[in-house]
Amino acid sequence: MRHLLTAEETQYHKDLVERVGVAWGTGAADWDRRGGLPADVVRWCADEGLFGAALPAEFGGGGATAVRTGLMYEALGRVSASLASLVNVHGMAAQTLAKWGTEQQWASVMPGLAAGKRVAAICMTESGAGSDLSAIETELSEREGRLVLNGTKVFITFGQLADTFLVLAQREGRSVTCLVDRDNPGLTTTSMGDVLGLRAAALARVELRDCVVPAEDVVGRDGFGLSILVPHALEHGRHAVAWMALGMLGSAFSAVLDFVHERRSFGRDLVDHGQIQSMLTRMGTDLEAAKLLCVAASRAVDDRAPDASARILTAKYFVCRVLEEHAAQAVQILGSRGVLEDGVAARHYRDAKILNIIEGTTQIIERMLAPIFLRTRSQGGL
Amino acid sequence: MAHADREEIIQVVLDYLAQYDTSGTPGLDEDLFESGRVNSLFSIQLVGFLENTFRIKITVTDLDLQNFATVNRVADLVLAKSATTTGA
Ligand SMILES: Cc1cc2nc3c(=O)[nH]c(=O)nc-3n(C[C@H](O)[C@H](O)[C@H](O)COP(=O)(O)OP(=O)(O)OC[C@H]3O[C@@H](n4cnc5c(N)ncnc54)[C@H](O)[C@@H]3O)c2cc1C
Repeated sequence: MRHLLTAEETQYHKDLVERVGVAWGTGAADWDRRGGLPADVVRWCADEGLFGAALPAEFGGGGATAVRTGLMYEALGRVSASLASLVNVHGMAAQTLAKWGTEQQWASVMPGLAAGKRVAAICMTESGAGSDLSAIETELSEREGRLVLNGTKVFITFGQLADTFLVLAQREGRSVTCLVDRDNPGLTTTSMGDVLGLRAAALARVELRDCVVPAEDVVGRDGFGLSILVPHALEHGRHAVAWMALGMLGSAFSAVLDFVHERRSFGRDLVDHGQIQSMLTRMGTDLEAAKLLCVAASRAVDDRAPDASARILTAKYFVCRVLEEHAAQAVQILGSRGVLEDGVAARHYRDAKILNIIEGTTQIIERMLAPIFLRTRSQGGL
Repeated sequence: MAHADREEIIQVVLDYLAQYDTSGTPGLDEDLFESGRVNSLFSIQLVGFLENTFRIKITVTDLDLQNFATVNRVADLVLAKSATTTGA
């Protein structure tokens, strides 16, 4: 990726890849088996400043550019999509609060989030509302002069571990978000059970039963949850997912390249068989295209370019799509070794599917991108 | 464009909207959200666009449907914010 980055960006990435690799390079299979991340992994992320890396410096964050933020997710994605998702969902909640919080929330909540002393999760999905979040039923209502929250959220990444939850609800039919702490007596979290991928992401069902929410914990304003706050969170999430998928694609490709050199069949190295070369070539070119799209998206964010959102969508869509294809091919090329859970290929294969469901499914992103391409053409931009 | 006047603001906003909506120029008092001209992806882009173009910062206190609903109201918001923003 060196050709797309400045010398400082390259160095930052190289150092982080090394640090993540040394610390956790072999941990991911075990995390998947346990269905969660050990506490020392979470602490390490906090100590390394990863939770606050992308937050503005005035909130105690690292003030990282979008490119650096992306490189961080790439480095984490190489090792584990679950690990990258821990930082991502925290970032989605924290970034939303950094932009749309009140001075009081910034003072009371942001320092803990920026330092990673408290981990945040984001609760949007319900059993009756996924892609179409306008159907959510979780309700913030006033009872005896107090705000109470009732509803059930599902598939909440790191919901079993988070200290604080940014919850999307509706109040008198208008969407709104609020913060709920783990120690709120009305909040309970339970495991979603075994899942196909992101197995170490401690997915939870989050039950909210008469959770009393102090008025100062409402984030944003009624009517703006769906139109402003959720899109803001999702934009951070899509950028992160594109980059973590890039890291996964890169590490799957590396595993394949190692293998085709050492494995022999029918008197040749595997790499000398034409069909294998076809698969390698497709993987290598898609990886290069994926890097270009990710860097272009991040640069657009850093430049505050008007097409930044479209570029993020494009990167998320493309990288996750080619990851799904090539993670499957990586398992294929590795043959029986590809199915071993200790290897990177099997895990990326399972996790790749998930990345095409979260932060906007493939179909939802197509619904957003197709009109953008049409419009770009009609304005002479294609 | 730190200190644009009202007409300039309206023109810039209309030009911006035209990029996203090829169905013609909206009326200055037409509700952009209710008319379906504005979707959720666009609404955050609009916030970013207004912040960059007019060098203002839109915060939670500006989150009022009244502020974003029509081109005229967007212009009011930008004018009010520009007046309170010094330098740039
Ligand atoms: C591992 C994992 C982690 C997650 N983490 C979180 C989290 O932290 N917080 C959170 O809030 N949610 C989380 N989710 C939920 C995730 O955001 C939703 O699964 C996603 O938004 C899709 O919603 P759904 O599953 O209800 O599918 P649905 O919306 O029911 O969609 C079902 C299928 O229909 C398609 N579809 C839907 N509408 C259309 C349409 N208009 N046109 C064409 N096709 C359509 C979809 O693409 C999909 O293929 C997580 C999910 C998973 C699997």
